[in-house]
Amino acid sequence: MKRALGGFAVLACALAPGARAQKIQVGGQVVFGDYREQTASLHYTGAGPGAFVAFSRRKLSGDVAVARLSYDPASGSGATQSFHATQIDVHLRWYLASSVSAELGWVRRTTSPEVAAQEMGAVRIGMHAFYGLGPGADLTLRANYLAGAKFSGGGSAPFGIELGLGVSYGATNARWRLTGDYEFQRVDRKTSVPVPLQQSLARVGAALGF
Amino acid sequence: MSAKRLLRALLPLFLAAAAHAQQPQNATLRSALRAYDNVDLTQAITLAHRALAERMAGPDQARAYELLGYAYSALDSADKAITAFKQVLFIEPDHELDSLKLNPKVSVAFELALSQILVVRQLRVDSSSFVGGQGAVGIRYRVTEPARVRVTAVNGNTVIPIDSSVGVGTVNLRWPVQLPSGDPVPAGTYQIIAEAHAGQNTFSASQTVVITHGTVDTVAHLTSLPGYQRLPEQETPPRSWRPMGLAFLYTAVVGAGTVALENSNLGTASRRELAGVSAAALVAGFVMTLKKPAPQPALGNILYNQLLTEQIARRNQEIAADNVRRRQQVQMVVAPAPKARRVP
Repeated sequence: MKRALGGFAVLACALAPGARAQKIQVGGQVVFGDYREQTASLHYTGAGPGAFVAFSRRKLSGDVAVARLSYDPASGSGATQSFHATQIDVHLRWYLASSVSAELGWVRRTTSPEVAAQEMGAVRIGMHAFYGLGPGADLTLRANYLAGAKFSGGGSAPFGIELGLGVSYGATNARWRLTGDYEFQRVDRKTSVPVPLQQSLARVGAALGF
Repeated sequence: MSAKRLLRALLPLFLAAAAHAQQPQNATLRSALRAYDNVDLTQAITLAHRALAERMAGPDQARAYELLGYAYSALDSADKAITAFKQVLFIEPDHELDSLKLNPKVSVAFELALSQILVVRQLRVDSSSFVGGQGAVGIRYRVTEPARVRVTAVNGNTVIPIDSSVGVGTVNLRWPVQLPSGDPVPAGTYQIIAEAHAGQNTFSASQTVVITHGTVDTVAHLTSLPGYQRLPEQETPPRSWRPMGLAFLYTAVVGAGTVALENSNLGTASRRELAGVSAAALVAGFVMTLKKPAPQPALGNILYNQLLTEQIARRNQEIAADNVRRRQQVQMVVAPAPKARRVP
């Protein structure tokens, strides 16, 4: 995680000198999560703080988001142990045409304690669509394939997918924004038997633009 | 003294001066005219001859010969009348008979006199103003017999040929006021001389003209094209349900995708996260549907304005080039002097 944060800081600093030709947003979030693993009985819900930095420069844009959730067993769940999950998401986008961008990214989720849930990392490849609803408001839709997934417990995931819906509203000069983001992940992990993972996240927050 | 009183006091003086101007200077000629008015033709002829024997100015001489012409016509002495009218025309080629005293005998005698002598009459130069090389001034004259008439403009030792042609009757010329080299005629006072030659007979008439030079007006640059106005480069689109529809569509796509992609082995996922963000998206879409849309760049208008700007720039380039040419041009003004004088 420290390496990831360091990389994020380096990226932010590298973009900072050209701030006039680009847009940078920094925001804080409250993150709500729903996590399931292996069977319907291992069901957790949680919440926690998050932060993100987004940037755009000509056709290139992207964001780095960090969230730390405290998952507790959901009511009716067979799970017994709470855990903390730290998730780092990196999205890099290249604008193609008509508000559609190609997206390449990376996701890394670690847990504490480590054995409480699967840690995983994967590369995301997909598309990102953006639509301006009106002055200061916009919608985003993204769909990614999660490739090359690695798990702390071993195994592989021939199929992993991620859907996202984002909405933001703020000043037309992007000095401030209210953001909401939904992310659904399904990873069909397999060892000797299927041990799938599924997570839904909702991030609600605010951001300042520079 | 008021202006009216002054005018009233001066008016008789003006009238007396005008009457005096019409009266001949020579007393004998005045007596001859009175005798003619009293229909004492013999006495009028006698007094006119006596007057001609005295020293008289040109106009008085012409008046005396004219009186003889009238008197001889009245006495049916056509030859003498014609001879008298010829003398009138030699002295005053532009002379016209008094229409109040005209009768057929007098008219015939005068026309016969005209046809028997060579004179250039009624030389006229129009008053004209034009850009050198792009216009011309009109010159007219009437020659009474077939003759070669050379027309020149003379200023001191400078003689500028204008025309040389054979003709009779009224002749109209167009003079571009240029030297043979094509340069504009220098400013100054010129005599336009029409010199007629027919055998041994020659006659010339002249008209004084003043030629002045001026700069040609230049054209101001355009700031806009007449009839064409710049269009607004941003337009506010009309309100529509499109934001709400798209928010609904995006939400539906993600919701349906989530439901479809849920792993059945993990049970039904919580809808809390999806519902929260979807509701926010729908509210944003609804609000944006009600809100006045942001002005959008009007690409057609921007293109139109660009074309307009290019047109104005192109026209201004043309004007600039034209002004360079205009600054090299000369505005010629030709103004004839009021009186044509016979050149001896």
